[in-house]
Amino acid sequence: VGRDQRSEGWPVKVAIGVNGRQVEAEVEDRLLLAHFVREVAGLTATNIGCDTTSCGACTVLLDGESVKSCTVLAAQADGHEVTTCEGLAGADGRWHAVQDGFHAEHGLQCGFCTPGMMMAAVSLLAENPDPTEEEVRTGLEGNICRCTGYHNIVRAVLAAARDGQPAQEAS
Amino acid sequence: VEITAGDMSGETARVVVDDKGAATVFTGSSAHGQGHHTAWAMLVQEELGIPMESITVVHGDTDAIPEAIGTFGSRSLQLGGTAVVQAAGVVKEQARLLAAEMIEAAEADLELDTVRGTWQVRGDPASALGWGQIAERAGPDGLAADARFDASAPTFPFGAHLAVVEVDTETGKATLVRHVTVDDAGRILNPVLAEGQRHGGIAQGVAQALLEEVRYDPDGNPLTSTLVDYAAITATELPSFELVASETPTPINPLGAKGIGEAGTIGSTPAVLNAVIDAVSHLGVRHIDMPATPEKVWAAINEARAGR
Repeated sequence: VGRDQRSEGWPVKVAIGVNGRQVEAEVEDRLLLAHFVREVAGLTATNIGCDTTSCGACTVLLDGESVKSCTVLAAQADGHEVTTCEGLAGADGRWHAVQDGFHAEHGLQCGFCTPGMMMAAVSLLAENPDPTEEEVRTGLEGNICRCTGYHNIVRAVLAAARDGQPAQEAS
Repeated sequence: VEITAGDMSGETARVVVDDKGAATVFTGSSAHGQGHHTAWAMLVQEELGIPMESITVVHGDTDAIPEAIGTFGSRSLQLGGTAVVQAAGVVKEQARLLAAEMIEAAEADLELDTVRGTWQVRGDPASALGWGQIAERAGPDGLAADARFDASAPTFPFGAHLAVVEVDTETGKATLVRHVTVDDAGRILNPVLAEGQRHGGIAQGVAQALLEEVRYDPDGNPLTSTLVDYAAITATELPSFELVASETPTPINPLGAKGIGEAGTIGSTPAVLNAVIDAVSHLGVRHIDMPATPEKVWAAINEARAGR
């Protein structure tokens, strides 16, 4: 076939639903979902912080459940639905309860962890709509924030839980 | 007690008001999460009566800001913020002169209504001129002023941190249960931003006491070069913090502001480490080197027990 697998990999056709829009592309088999979202779908809210699945900045929803998109191949997401931070607000532009919570409680400072943190929170509240503070802290353990000491992030998620059921994500 | 803005190198600001009545603040104190955009806009609104939503803050562009020092050492509000207020103050006096010409009144008879953002003859709202009209009169570049504030001395914020720590003597794991702090940074411009600075600082200080360490092997190779190896603190290892307010203004700058950015890290590290040692002192432990990881605490407990 004449292609060197180790250096270039094989092209793979993928069709991935991103925030309700179908994105079809031929990509390298080794392309990570994080890079697919940023470079192919052109949505840059999803940040890449560590490349080692440690920091959670790249958290997105895959069929409604949070995943760190730096550790999922785009090819694995073929035929599935991805939701990024850009997809949180409703079609009418109204913010998601988690966005409202982060805004009201000042749940961010530099903002780098925020998109991933919000996606982790959405997934957490979908599983547990009425969490205790401890459950919120456990649920966000995979997402590192260096600015806020998590204090206002935890308050933001608790406020989101109080103020409304998060919208059901596509599955 | 800490020393803040100890570098004594001052900070710069430029304030411009355009013919739309909007203001732009060019600040030498660049922002990376501290909330300068909000804080500087609050200062200009307070000084000029231009609403915050009409104020843009520009930073980090050396084309636009030729001389600047930066954001470090808990210096931004006390130096950079004061420079913003001073530049706005110069713009205000420029506007007073122009407004006097335009209204044909004596400068001393003019007042700035900072609620409506208009200049008028004292007691005569019918004479009111908006910032846009005055800036238009000033010429194509609008009203503009540069300022540099050099403080006469550093400032000395102070505070106290109390930590309650539980130690599992079987595993050596120390858990911070409560953290109560007072940090006095002088006059507080924005309590939400100031609290955010304290929260982040506390977390970093606790992390230094309990978890985080840059390690090297004997040949000097770094062993903690990714977040897989370096134990950055997470939400599960921290409680919500209990902050007590205290405001003792400083006379060193017109804002009365002392630094807040580092207050959390300074108090929390010794408070937490002392609490860990206190929790196991009845077992004979007198000293543990930071960070007090489970391994070190467990070893200290066992050494103390063996030494009895």
